[in-house]
Amino acid sequence: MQRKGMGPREIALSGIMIAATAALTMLISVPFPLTRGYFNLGDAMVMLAGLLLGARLGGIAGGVGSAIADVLLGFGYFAPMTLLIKGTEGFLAGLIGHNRKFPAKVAGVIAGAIAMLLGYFSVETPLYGVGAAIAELSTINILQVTFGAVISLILIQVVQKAYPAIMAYSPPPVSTKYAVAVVVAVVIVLSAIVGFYVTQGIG
Amino acid sequence: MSMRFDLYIERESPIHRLDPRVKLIGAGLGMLSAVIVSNIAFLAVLYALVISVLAVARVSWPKFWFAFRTILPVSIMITALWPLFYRTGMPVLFSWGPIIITLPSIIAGAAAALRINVMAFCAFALLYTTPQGKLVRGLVRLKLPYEYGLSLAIALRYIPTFGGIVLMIMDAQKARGLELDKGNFMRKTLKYVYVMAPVVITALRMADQLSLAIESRAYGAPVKRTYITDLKMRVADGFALTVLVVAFGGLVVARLLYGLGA
Repeated sequence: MQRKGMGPREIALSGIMIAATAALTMLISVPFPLTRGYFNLGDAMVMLAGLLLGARLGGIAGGVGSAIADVLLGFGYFAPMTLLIKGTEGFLAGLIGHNRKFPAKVAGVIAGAIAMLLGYFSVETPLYGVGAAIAELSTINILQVTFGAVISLILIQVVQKAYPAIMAYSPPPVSTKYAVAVVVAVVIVLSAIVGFYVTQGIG
Repeated sequence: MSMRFDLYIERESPIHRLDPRVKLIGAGLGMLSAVIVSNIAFLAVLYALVISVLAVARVSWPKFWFAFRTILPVSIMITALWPLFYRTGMPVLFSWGPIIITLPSIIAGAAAALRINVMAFCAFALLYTTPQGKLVRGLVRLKLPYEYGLSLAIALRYIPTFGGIVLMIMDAQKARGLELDKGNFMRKTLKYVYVMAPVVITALRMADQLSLAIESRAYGAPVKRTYITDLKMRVADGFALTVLVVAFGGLVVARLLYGLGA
């Protein structure tokens, strides 16, 4: 497992990308007065962060940025779960898609999309009831990941052409063991959350 | 929807004076308490508790109302949809074809909505009373590695900046002929690429400069780090923390051993 920790480059990149993700998630949003309250293009940023920066920074930028957006828009109680779910979304997009050919990028954003949909559905069912979870899944969420995927695939090509220097940034490759460990950990944590809810008699 | 970049409200109050670590742990335990309890009466008590924390913190009515009305649509939707999907118990109030609405399921829906409100207000209690710098410092003292704390602090500092940048780029593109309010939903959404691309590239450039700045300040030098703001637990903090932990422990015991609050 190769981790050189976070050097200045990583700290700066992650901090800025978190801020950009949060700002874009909050600003480009259409009020949709259900569940979390807004249809937004945050997912485009999350997936782009993964494709652009690799799994680790993509996960951090996507997860923390979206969580902060949740907090600032008044849905702070959801922030920990958003952190996990959108973090995984960015992580998977980067894991599969970063620095690879276009088909791999497509696969990456699809994986991220599935993670987001599944994640939110499984957390919202015990908390909001399955009806509300289905409502959000089939309206805002599916729109968000679809547009997010398309937009991020467009953007990655635009940004790579316009700013080739970013390609000089290659993060230490995430070793397979690390990646699998992260995914397993996330699945365990989410199932624990859901299981916790269920055994305590919710839903 | 009004967007504030910082939820903190400056006041003098016992809650504001509390150590951020205590408030972080308190908010966390508060949210956990709401999760493990399902009885609507218990949830109402938790709700009253968290509102009184806000009151002690001298949170003004408009701020309280902002928090309340942010969660209101969710609450209504939960309460409305819950009985449609969970039909338990008696008495049946209304029945029409596949739709069966019973009183217990309405109460359960209301309880779920109340739970979300408790959790939301726990978060607000933390965020209304703790400035960002102290929040990050609290997290780092609670063992978040320093580099992530720095990354978080940078992010919080730059969010308003990016807010301005996004608006500026939207204006610039509009001046070049971008029409963001015309077209159907799909077209409108895809047009945002014209805004997002420049924003991302700006972000990458800023990150490059920032990393130079960080490095030029000898980040990572093998010296013990000192801090401008540091946190000390006072007696009041220790007392508050003890009360929180004991209360939560009691609730867990009551819930698990005696089945109270189910």
